[in-house]
Amino acid sequence: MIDLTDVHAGYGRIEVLRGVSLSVPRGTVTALLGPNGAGKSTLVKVLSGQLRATSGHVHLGGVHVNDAAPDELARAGLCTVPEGRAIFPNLTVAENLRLMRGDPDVVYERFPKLRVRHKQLAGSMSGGEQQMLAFSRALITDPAVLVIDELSMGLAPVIVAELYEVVAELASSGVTMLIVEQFAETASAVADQVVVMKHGEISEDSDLATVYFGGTS
Amino acid sequence: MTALLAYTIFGLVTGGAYAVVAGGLVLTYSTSKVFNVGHGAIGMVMAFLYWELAENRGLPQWLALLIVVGGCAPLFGLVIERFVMRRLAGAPVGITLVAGVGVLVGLIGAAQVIWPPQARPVRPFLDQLGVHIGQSFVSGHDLVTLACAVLVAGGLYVLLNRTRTGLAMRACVDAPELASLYGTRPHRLSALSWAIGSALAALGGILLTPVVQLDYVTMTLLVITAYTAALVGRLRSLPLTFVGALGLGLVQSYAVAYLPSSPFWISFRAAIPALLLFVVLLAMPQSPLRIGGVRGSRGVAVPTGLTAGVGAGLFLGVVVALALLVDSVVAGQLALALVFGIVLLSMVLLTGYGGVVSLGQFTFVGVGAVTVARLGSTSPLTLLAGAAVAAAIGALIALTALRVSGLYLALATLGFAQLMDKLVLQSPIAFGVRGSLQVPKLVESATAQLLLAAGVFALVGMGVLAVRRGRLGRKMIAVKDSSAACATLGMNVRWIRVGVFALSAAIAGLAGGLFAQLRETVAASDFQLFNNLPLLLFAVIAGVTSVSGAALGGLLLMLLPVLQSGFPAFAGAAVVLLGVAAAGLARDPNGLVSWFFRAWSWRRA
Repeated sequence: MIDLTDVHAGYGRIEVLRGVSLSVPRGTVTALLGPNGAGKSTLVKVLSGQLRATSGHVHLGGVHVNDAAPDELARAGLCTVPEGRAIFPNLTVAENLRLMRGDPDVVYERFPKLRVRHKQLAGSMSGGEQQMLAFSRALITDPAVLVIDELSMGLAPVIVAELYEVVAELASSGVTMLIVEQFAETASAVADQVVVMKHGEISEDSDLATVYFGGTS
Repeated sequence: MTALLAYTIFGLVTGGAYAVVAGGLVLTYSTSKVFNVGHGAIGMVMAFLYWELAENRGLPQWLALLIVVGGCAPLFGLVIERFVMRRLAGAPVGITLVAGVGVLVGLIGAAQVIWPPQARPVRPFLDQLGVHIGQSFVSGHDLVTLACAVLVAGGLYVLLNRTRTGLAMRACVDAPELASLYGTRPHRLSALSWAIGSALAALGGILLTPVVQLDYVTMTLLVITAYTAALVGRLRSLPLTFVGALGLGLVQSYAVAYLPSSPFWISFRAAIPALLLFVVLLAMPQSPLRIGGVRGSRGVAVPTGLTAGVGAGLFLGVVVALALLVDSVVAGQLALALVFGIVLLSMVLLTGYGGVVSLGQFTFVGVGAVTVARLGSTSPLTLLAGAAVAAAIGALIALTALRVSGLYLALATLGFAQLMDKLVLQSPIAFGVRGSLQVPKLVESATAQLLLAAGVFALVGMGVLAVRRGRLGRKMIAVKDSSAACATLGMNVRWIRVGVFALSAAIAGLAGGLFAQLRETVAASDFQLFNNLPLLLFAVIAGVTSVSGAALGGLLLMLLPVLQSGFPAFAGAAVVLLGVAAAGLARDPNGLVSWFFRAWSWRRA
């Protein structure tokens, strides 16, 4: 479903991705792990159309999408939840949900806290609630492909567990997923395939301990 | 009682038209984060176009209105969005403002070329109709205006709060990248908001023509009135903006009714929007210290003391050589160019280094000129007196406007300029009843004038560079990049800003003094409010971050009127080109000069 072939990308003269090839089969979940600065978020940007690959090929569902704009990909069924609190802070919770095009009740049932706060400006909620709202998009848009960047960043373990419960449900319902995480355990638990990135390349070394604590080979 | 009713109705009608203009301003600002200084100018040009169709070509009024408001204006908004504003997404306030000023100046230039000055009466709408309320008469045009205001208010509210498109527009302002990940089309939304915004500018402009007459500058400066109204709603809330606009209309109408009609009070009335602007600004909450937001706008390299000294020496050498070569007419013109260059140096300090955009810098030039003219002495000390008075006024405005920053501050300076224009510079207080003053020259010959101007330019230029290299300069750059970080370091952000403002005003005042004694006669017409805008434009086009940019800008400013008298049609085209150039160049805040330097360093590489 997601196929990257020898993708290079970067910012100006700095090359971040140096020939990444990665394949996520339809209906499976891949966890992409790696230390800070490995190029994980850059990979998400290339995939979602925010950053153009300088060379190589990006295919989604067999279609070549190197030149597609982010909004085109989104309308075609790619749902990206970028890192950080990916919400519109000056819109209310209900307005945020309306933008996602879907039934808000699905979300309210899953995250009752959001129903209580539906008239509040999204930016005034706690970090955990904001992340729930951001992640709601994966719930109500019924995406063909879901890409999640650092879902657990800066959140309390209880909330991470609550969110990953939903991730697991979505995975079992057959959504193709790429989950980017710095913390290995949470993500690997739901994944069919674990891929490790290091220095802008997919590392052949699948031993996580080496990736995080080992020397720079 | 009858009079009160009549003036209330008149006020509400004018306020309704303001509301239409202000609504467009708020819409474009809240959906694209670009404050369109040229909003009033779009209304002006479209009102002229309406006159052309309805009065000159004899089309039915409704058809002309439909063509202009429904066709030409939205189309124009689309063009502006596509070719100017889209490139400015996320740019600092100063740059988006200059692009707007470019649009404004370009439109005025275009209007003057297409429609040369003459009386252009415009028939009001539905002039046979009208109703009597008590003993006062409400004309058909008034009813149309009120109806338009209500429709626009309701329409905009529904658009932004009840439709998906409006919701997506607001989302795009909040987080444009995220909005595109959500599948909204950011360019299409911003194009739509610009189309609606300029249609509203056009509608407001046309509705106001029977009240304010068809005039290039008056209608363009309606943006100040609309801005004051929009500020009541913090540039965001439409209902408050409409309340603000109606209130403004009422205050103006009551002022006509109940204030005495002596000359002072007549000019006071014209200054009401600007005065209210300050009242609203003072009532604004303190703007929060900006965190982050550092954009990669790199300044040009700052020369060392030695380089600056050598540069100044070379510059003086060139000027002396020129002074020996050219005749007295050219020498006088070059002296004028250098005086303008000194004005631009004040903007290098304030805008280039300090990051504060001033739309009222020419006012300080006027203050300096008036001071020197009033003192009437041939002692060089009068120049310093002019600088001191300008500095005092500059400090005063900085203190008043301290609460606000960025866009609000820039527009406060425009409001201040209008206030000074109406209450001081254009009134008998400044230039007397005849509107002009004689000034004794400090030095007689044109050659000596050139050398004097060159000497002052070199001194001020070196001074500005010394400030930049020194402690204050570092602090200025730091405040510009992150005022929050400065505050955490224990720096007093406010006094740095007041100091920079005063120093910059002093330089402009000094230039004003030089200007006055160079001209021998100075008049109120030399210091009109509108002159502020080309000044900023030339500063940015030539390069507002460097001393050499100031010199180039001064030269261009001097050349413009020379061209205008020699080739009127060409000068109009030149103004349009300038507007376009500013809009295009706005991306590179270092201006033409840096372009030359870059071209040069590329050749050397």
